[in-house]
Amino acid sequence: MARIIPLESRQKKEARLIAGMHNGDQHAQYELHKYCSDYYYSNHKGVFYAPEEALDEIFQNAFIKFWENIELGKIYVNGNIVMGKDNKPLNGSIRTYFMGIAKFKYLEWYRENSQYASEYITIDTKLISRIEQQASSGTNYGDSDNIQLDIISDLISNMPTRCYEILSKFYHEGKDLDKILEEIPSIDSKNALKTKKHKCMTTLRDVANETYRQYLAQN
Amino acid sequence: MKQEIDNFQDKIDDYIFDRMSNEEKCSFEAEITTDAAKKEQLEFTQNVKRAISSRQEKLQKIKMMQEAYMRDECDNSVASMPPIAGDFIEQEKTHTLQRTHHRWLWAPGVAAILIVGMIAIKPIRKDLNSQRNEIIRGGEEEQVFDPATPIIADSIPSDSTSTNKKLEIKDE
Repeated sequence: MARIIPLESRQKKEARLIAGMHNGDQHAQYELHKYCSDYYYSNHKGVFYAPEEALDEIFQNAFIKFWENIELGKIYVNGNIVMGKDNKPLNGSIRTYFMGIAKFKYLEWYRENSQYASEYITIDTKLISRIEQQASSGTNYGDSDNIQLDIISDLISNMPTRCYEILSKFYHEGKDLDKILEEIPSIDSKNALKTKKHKCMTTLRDVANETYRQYLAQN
Repeated sequence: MKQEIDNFQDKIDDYIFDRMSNEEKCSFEAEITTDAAKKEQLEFTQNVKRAISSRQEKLQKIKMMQEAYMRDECDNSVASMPPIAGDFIEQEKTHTLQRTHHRWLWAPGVAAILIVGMIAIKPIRKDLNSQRNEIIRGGEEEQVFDPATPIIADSIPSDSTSTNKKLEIKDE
């Protein structure tokens, strides 16, 4: 006799994935990553105009942002319903929410690579402003308890590679300057490395403060 | 001013990596409670450390997920492949089993034929033996294999002296 297996509704599935992600469940992490990845790669055409490597980078940064939003409780589950901004149920699917973040990340990439991008993109400004409007929903700093952390997380994803490398080795891996100097032989001396690190921190701090000021002015 | 900020950044780094003595720690904590800018700089550094660590951990997990996809995709593609490797082995196994099964069918068949054959051959052999005994007793066999008997058909006059001798004797 045939057994009927009930299909999980989209709403239940998404709630299960968000809850699992929040609890650090590896299966949920894998499933949500695939869920977003499948949607992103089948829908980016006509939305993001960028070379392949940039599309991968945009996806990666968007997924990290999405993950951090779940960890920070910007998006959470309440009784099988995914809740978003202002503690209200999310409008539409979490994939739409994810694409909102991806659009914001695309915009960041576009600003950083506008010269390079122009070779690939024949894009009208209307599309950019539409993306800006849509993207703002995915990156509302107001929902965060620690706005500075949220801003820094966004900024480091677009930081110059060398700066990110130095800061990552120093603050994440806990290596001292001598060890970092061994690993980055292109930097001449310990003093040069120290100056570079301080410069990176100062620039990051200035940009973060400026972004915060802009955010306060807009709200 | 810049030099002062840089020096204080070194102090912050020592503080957040717990590289200060208790005395230095107390002095540092007192310093930040009285200076808002320094406190803000400490909070900023703590946030940078937190943001970078969070990103690095996630990047590592994403890399592992992507590797897992690759493995899953490989597994799925093997499962949906036409009968090349796995199925081929299965087919071979089936054929071997079928051949073994046929062998088992043939063995009793051959045995049955042999038994029937032996039963049928036994009286024939009996007949042959009796005929043979008769030949031996009748002396015909001796005539056939007598070396003295001249072989006319196979001989020519100059073939051998013995044969010729016999012929000569006959003529006498």
